[in-house]
Amino acid sequence: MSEAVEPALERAERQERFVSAHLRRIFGQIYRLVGNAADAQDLTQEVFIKALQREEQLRDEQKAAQWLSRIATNTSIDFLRRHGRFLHCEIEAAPEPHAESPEARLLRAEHREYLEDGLRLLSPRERAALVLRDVEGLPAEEVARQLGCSKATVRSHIANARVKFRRYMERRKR
Amino acid sequence: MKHAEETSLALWAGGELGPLDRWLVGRHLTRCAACRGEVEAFGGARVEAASLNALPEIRWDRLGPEMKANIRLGLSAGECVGPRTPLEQQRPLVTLRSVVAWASVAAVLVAGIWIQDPGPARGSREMSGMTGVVLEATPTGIELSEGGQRLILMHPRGSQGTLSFGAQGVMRAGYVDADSGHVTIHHVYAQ
Repeated sequence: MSEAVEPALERAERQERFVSAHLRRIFGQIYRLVGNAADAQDLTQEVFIKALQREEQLRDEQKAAQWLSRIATNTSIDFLRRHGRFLHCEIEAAPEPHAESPEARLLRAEHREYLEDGLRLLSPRERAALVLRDVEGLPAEEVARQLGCSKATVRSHIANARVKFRRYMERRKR
Repeated sequence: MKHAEETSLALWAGGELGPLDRWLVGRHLTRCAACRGEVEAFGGARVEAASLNALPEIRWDRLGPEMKANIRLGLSAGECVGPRTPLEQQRPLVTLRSVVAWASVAAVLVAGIWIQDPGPARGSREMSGMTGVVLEATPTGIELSEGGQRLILMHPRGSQGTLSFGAQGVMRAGYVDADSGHVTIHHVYAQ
């Protein structure tokens, strides 16, 4: 009964608070997985819509945060599977004004592109495992939870991903 | 000397090996400079990967509100086109709690009428001389009126619509075009 009669405004405010609390984190997580700001924006929106359509899962805040991350990971993996390993070019969002010189920004963008190329050689699950473990710094157990697989499987994904990524870096250095 | 597996060294670099493997690989590493070099290279690759943690330069003041608006729109559209609850799964209309609630409301109303002097019948707003902005749903659309002037947002033709009302003076109408499946959402606020 309480759900049915919850005022629309209160519900909207609760949803707004939830989105504000997690938007940047989830966008960042998805961006690191798909490597493209425009795709990350679309997928982030999709993740929040999916989550808010099942609000009964959001009662416990900590669990809700983990659940949201899991949806983000799975949605990103599905996206990577659908789009293969060749991703579209980055559509740069308008940069914020800052003190960095254009040369430094260009170098940083090039280095990022070089690393992104390495990640594109990995399968979606290997990429997700590497990003969650080495980029996001999550414990292996949490990575396994987010990917919905055993710890042994996730270790295998992480090891394969590191081997491929390192070989790529060595090839590019030559 | 047999070298350690490359995947084991990759896991050693990140500290993910189980106790037994950790002991075995650790023992091997004390004696094998080549494998130590491999571990170092994996460590370097991990550091490089970690540098991807930085987010791109983004105007959050623009992107944040845009994403939030899109999320709200997506949720509204989902409510319009989402599956409806089958009749057999709906809760019974008459439950003990609802009977108690309605009885309480009725008692309050009867008490209110009994306490107050009977006033003139309150039919249409014209009769009562109601002033201010009035927002109401009519068969043709959503009507906003004030001081004899009216603005009507017409319902699209050939679309199925749902109307809902908020306590803060908002009326929301969602329509689904039967042919194209396009969703149109109107939010009208009375201030």
